Amino acid sequence: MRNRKRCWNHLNLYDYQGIERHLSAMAAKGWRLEKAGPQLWTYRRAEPASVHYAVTYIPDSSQFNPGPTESQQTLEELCTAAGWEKVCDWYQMQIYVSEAAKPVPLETDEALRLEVIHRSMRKNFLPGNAVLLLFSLLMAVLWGKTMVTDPLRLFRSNAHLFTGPLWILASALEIVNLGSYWLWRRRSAASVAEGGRCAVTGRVSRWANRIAMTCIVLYVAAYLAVELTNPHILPFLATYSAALFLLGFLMRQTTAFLRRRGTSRKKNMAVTFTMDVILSFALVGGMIFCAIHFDWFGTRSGETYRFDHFDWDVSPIEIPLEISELTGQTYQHISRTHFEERSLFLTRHSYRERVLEGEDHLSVSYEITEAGNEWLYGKAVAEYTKEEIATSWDITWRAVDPAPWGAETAYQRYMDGNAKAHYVLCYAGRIVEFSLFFRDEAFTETQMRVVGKELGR
Amino acid sequence: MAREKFQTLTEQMFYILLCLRQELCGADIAAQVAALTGGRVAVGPGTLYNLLDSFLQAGMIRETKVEGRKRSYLITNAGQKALEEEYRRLLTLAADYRTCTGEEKTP
Repeated sequence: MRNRKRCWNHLNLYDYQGIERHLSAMAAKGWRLEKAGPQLWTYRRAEPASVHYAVTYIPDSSQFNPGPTESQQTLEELCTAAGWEKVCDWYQMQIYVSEAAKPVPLETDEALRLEVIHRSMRKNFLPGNAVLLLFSLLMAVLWGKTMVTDPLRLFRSNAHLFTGPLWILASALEIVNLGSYWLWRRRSAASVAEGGRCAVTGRVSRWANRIAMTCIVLYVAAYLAVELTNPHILPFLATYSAALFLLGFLMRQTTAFLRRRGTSRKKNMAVTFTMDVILSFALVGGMIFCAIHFDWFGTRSGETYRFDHFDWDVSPIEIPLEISELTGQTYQHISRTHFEERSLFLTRHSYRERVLEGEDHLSVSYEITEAGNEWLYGKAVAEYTKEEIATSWDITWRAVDPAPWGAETAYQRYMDGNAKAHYVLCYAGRIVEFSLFFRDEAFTETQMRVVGKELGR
Repeated sequence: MAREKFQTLTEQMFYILLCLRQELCGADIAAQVAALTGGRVAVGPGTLYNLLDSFLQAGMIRETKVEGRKRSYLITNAGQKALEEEYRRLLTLAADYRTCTGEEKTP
């Protein structure tokens, strides 16, 4: 039988009534609060008992203080004399317990309670939630803007697609949190002005927190379930999660270490914040380095060798269409890459092959986009055949005969009016963008049929 | 600012200042207020802490002694003035009451 358990705290810092009730109810079930972490609270097993929990606030308390401040010590002295025992503190909140049947209340002046709670909320809760709200809103707006201007960018990746609703959910949660505090404070101020008590705390935000947390957990679980079907994303996700966990752990340990050393609050905050920024950059940089170095996304074909100033594959990967199928020749030096982007709605495979023919480098590159959805299909075609009028050259697309390719429609790229060996071929549910970089840069009818047969299926 | 904040005193403020006409430590203040009012006015430790902190910042009381965690306080002239003004305000209220109800004429 375990003697300790950790629970996720879904109550807000100003929700003193909710916290007092929750802790008393836990004690009645035989679990006493031992430690209040930022999100996880630790309880130890005890005899079930009817005890009273009460909380009060000290605005100058901080998790970065080296130890109990003078204010906290003075308060503890007063509380001990009144029969209250300190349990722990949580940001500005000071949590006390009393075994007495009818203890003296910790707070006996509602106007003062309201004022002190607000001063405390201005330290962490309000600025923290406001920053989170602004950031979540900014990310949600940017996601929404991309959805309008470049939806394919989002639909090509589950990660990009899933993050938008997550930011919207986070924004909604912050609006509920801040809004319910504002409403509670307004109702409390009106009640206190008439000689009454503070209003009942955070009933709405408590439920919003529970619902939002459930939604976020289910949403992330759904995302992982979808994403785990892609083997290339596994090492990235596993390393990213481990690195994030390590980052949080290191931050907490840094703060705790500096507290133990008696470092001042300001210095502790500065060091912790600096560490946070440095480690975050290291995390992002490290992830990019590892993704490239260890080829997490499977773009390379493994071992290479050097010849004629270029790298070539020892065992080239298989790709749907090889240059040898277009030229009818075999090649000794080959380099191939394959990159896959996939979401629930769209899959895109990008292939590139380069071979050495005598002294010439021949290469092809093609992308195969599969979209079952008509709207996405249309967007993908539009994206491929987008015309660009640049200062150096004009890029245009002209419809060509699709029959040799076995396609429904086909477009050819023109640069400054000159036809290029660059085509967009539309098949049922599949778009192929194909370009050739060798010899006279033109396709023969036979090559067109080969392309249609191999890639248009 | 402080003067404006303590324009009128609540019962708890009034009795805390009244008790601090003699040097007292925080824990004894609550007991003395309860004794003085026959238990009618209770000052919770959280409220007491915040009021002492506010009085200190407003210069209405001063710290006289620190023994470990135990701190003692004494009223200052500013605090005494606030207390007297509150007393006069209460007297005015009582006088007005008597005038309106004719209680003074009652033998």
